[in-house]
Amino acid sequence: MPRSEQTLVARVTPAAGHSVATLLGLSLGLDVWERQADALVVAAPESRLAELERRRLASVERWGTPTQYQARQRSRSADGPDDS
Amino acid sequence: MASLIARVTSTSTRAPLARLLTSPLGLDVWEVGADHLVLQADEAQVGRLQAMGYDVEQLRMTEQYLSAFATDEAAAGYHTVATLEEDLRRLAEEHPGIAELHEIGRSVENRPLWALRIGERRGSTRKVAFLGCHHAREWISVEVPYLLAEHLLQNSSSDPVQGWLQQGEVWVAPMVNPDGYEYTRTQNRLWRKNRRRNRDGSIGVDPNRNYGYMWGTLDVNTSSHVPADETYVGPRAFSEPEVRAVRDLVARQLFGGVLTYHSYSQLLLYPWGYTSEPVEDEADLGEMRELAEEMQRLIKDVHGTTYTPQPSSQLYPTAGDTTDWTYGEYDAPSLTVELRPASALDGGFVLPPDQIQPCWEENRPAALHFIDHVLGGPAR
Repeated sequence: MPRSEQTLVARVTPAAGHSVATLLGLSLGLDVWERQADALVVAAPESRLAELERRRLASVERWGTPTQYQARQRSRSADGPDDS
Repeated sequence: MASLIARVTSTSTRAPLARLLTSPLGLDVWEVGADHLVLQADEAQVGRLQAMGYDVEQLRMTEQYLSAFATDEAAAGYHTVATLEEDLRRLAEEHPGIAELHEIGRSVENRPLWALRIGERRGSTRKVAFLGCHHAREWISVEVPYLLAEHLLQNSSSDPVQGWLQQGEVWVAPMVNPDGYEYTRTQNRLWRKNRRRNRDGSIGVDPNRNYGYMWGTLDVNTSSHVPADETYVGPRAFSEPEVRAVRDLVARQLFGGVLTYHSYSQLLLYPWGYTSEPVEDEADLGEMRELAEEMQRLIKDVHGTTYTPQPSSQLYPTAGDTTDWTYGEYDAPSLTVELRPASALDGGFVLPPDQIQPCWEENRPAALHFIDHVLGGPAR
């Protein structure tokens, strides 16, 4: 798979002059996992994340591939439960 | 090159652990302890670390690690498609007077879609529905409605449950999307949609964008007309057999309230999803908002967990979702509950199995309140 098509989990923060609603209103096929007050957590191909950056719509904090993300979550859960 | 998970320690002053956190080695650090790091690295990176003076203990190859956890998870509490059917059958068989298992339809891959009817008499006009697992990766959304069904049956001889079941019916369909769910267990833990083969060769329609109220009116990230996208709305409203099964169930039973479970984010969502405008009927809006606010309070009282009530569109715009349709078409008070956890950093869709019970415990009084509101209130 070309690197540009590799799906990544990322935190996407709107650039100045844009908002989370702006990002949600795009038609870029972002798989929105979570809406935070000032950002989105998404899964999307690298090419689409790069497009957000290229168009200066958002900054992108890449967390890794879904496999890496899952492994990290499972590692945390294996360390022991949080208080409920 | 193979990837592995390793624990890194150091007794050498020439190799301080802190250096690894800032060095441009491309390490994927998962955990930082006072005397160790846990990281994911390939074999070349491990060799480099050892050459720099670090002690590297291989914990597991990454793929082995993932498959081991998948097995652990299966054993530790989440249902499979098969065990859910077994358990639903068992509940019906153990409570023949008040529980009936109904096959309400079949999935794209021809799996049966199950709904458990709970109530002492058929033909009641007071009915409430609980749905789970429209989205395959949201495993906890299967367990909470299943545990609700189990709770109602185990407590069917004492009030308040007995009173509800004497005057009405509770329908529980814990797994609307079994094909997608099975796929998450065998192929891709983070799969969302059903398993429809689309005309362009891509797979999957988002079942929670395929209902017929304001279907297709948005074309955004969270309601997409591109078949490969995770929120693909489908070629037309009710194109998917899983969604038609729910449509037909709702049309037959005319529920007075519908609650559908999803994960994650800990939210209590009420219509609308398709527009940021509030529901026009102020009485309806007030009823759903007050329900959500009371459920928030009930949830918080159990373990102190905060679920936030808000209009669905405040999360993000969604056209064709379940609750817009059940409210928009049938005027039924309708809520979406986004279960644990609160954030991706707390696990996201990969909720550890030891969270099932506390998640159910905190949602139990809220679900019972919803039942009481629908079945115990004045007839609609």
